[in-house]
Amino acid sequence: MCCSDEQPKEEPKVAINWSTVLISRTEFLKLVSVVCSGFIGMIVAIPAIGFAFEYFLVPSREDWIKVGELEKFEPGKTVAVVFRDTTGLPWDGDCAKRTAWLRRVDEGNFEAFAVNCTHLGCPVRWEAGAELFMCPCHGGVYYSDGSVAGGPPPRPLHRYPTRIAKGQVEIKVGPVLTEG
Amino acid sequence: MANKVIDKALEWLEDRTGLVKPFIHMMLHPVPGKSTWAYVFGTAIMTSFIVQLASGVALSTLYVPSGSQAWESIKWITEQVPFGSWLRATHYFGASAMIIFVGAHAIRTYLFGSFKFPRELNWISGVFLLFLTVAIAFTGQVLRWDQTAVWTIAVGAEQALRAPFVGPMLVRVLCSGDNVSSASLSHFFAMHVFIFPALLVALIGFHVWLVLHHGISEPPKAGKIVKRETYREEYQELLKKEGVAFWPHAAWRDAVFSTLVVLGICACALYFGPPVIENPPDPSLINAEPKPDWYLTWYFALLALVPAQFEDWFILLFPVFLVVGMLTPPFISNTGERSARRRPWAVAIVVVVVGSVLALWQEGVNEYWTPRFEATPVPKTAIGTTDSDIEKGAKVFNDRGCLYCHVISGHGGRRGPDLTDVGERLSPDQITIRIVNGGVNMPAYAGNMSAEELKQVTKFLESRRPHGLKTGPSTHLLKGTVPVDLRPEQVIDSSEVSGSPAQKLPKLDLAPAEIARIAAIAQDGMTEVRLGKLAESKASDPEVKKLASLMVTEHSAANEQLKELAAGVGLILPPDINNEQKALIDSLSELSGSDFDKRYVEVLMDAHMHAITVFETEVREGSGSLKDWAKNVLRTIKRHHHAAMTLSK
Repeated sequence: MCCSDEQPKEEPKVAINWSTVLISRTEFLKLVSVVCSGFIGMIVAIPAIGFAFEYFLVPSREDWIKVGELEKFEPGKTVAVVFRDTTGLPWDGDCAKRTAWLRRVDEGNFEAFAVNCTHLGCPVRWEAGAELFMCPCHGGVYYSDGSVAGGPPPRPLHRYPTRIAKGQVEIKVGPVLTEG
Repeated sequence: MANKVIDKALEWLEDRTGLVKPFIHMMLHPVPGKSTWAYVFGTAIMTSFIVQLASGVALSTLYVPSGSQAWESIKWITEQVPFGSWLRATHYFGASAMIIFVGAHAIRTYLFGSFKFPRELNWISGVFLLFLTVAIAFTGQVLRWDQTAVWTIAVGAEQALRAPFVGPMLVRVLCSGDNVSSASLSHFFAMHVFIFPALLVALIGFHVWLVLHHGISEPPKAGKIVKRETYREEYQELLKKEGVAFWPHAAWRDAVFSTLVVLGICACALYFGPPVIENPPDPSLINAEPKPDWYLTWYFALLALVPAQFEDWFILLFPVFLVVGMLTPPFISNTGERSARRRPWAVAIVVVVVGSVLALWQEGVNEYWTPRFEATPVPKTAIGTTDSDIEKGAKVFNDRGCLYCHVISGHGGRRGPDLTDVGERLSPDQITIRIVNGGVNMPAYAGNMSAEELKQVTKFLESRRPHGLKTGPSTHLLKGTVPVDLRPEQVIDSSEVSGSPAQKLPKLDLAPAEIARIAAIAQDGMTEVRLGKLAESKASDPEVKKLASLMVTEHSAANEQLKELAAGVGLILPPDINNEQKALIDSLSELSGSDFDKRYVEVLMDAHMHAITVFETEVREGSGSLKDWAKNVLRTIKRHHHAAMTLSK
């Protein structure tokens, strides 16, 4: 199927013979061609790859986001607050909307939890009757303080820092999933 | 006349391109005469892929890969555009067909030993094609850009996040940024329509080239051995003896089967229609239940069923295991028998893999691990009584979410045990303790239920006796411990809290997680004492005996302290060790001599290792006197662990 048995003595080779590259015209021309090809490749590839992975070149941001007026929240109640991701693109539309669970613990204290289950990231629901967060994917359960009550989650729900500024409740949101 | 013109034209074309003869050569290349219907899967994949290319390119002419518009454009394509719904349906079922036939093709080539010399690279390129097919299908699911799609990215990201060091980096690659956004969609779009198809086409070209280069593997015969030195010659001889031209003697089967495949795709498209585009891709809508398409359901089930302690490893290593496992056959045995009749292990592997995937798939469809939010309340007829407390208890059961995870008379979820006959299995005290303290997967309801409600729901559960049986002597199991723990003011009695029915049990000023932790610590402590007593009588090595009595004394003391502390904060401790621990003690009591010694020390090491983490958590996150106690005992636990470790050497 394959090659002929006898090879001619001086069969030309594709690979560069580095020992003669500066004295042999053939070898030198190979080198010139390889360098040119590599140059073209780099010119084409670097901006393309840099563009496709631009997010590594932009630092992550954390922002304090207003989620509502202080009076709106009842002590002891856990509610969903919806806000917009400030790091998104102008044409994100609804996919830049986010929800967090916000609990007014008492007069001046709030707790805000990411909706993502720490097991696989599915959105947990607050079941007011049971006073538990439950995950629809694999049955992770959390208590009202975000600690794990049952099921597979390895960690408590992620907490966003909260503060009250000028009568507004604010939460500090960074990358939604990368808090580890 | 016409023939002559065609011949002339072909002659000219051959002269100017040199492509006609190689094409004819390819079509007429000899294949083993006895190749059968088993050989049609490869072309079935090709045919489905052609369906994908045609429908995919067509769909891309209207689809908008923008975060705000993709969903609407798909809705428009489906509802307004002629053929739109049809193209989406065929694109979906074409993908399904590709996945199915990639699987069938892999199984066929594996069972026929076709991966053996000289076709190792056929197999290896095929494995990459398989994973590429899954990747292209997965990225396609994301392009639907509905609620499931955005949460699918979140699920993928959460898994990637578990990778050590590079986790956050992988998440950024997956989301193309810090969050799910329009950028994620565009990147998935580029992968789905440019990068992966290009790779797929290139790899298919390579794969088909190899098939032509080595020839289609002949159907295996038991006893016919593949040898590196002679295989090629034998194959050529076989072709000479009984080879037939591929066109049309083998091709017709491919053509007929591919037609059936296309008809099947059309039938599914006609019958089922395109995948439903449900809710919009708005991550603020959290009533989502993201689920992968059918071909990954088994994997989804696996993630639900894998024990939590291995999960990190599993999520990280299982995909690697799959790839490496698939690549190994030609490296392990690329010569020798090809026939499945002489390769029992190969058959066993296929049976086990296919069986496991089907079983997991079934589990994934049932999803018993999921709380059933839509469960219907236990109806009056099933409650079966008009006792007002029991009825109220049933309402608590429904309202407090117990129903999501427990079935009673066919109503409810299956995450936890079926409670239809719980009154025959557990005493009221046991029921109460379980509700208050929780269990492995069950939350401790201590802080989430009023005393009144607890009493009612216990009464309701106690009345679940479809066979009219009463709980046996276990009712008295709690004697001795309960009176200590259930101090008068905490005894569950509605008369005490009747003034404020919504009031929580007064005693529990503890975080629910701590309640569960302390309960587990108490059981661990009791287990240590029991194990120690067993070892005191059974151990053969005096050193082990000495260690065992140390366990008994020190753990008994710690248990007593804990009991007092718990009573002080009003915590009900479990009266007895759990079944797993009982089973452990039973398994140990069956051993004797040095076997027993060895196993006991092992158990000690494991248990104390585990205890160290639990105690450290309590020291870190616990509260008040319990935390201080844990701090003290932690030193003892570490000492025990060290002693066990020294003995084990």
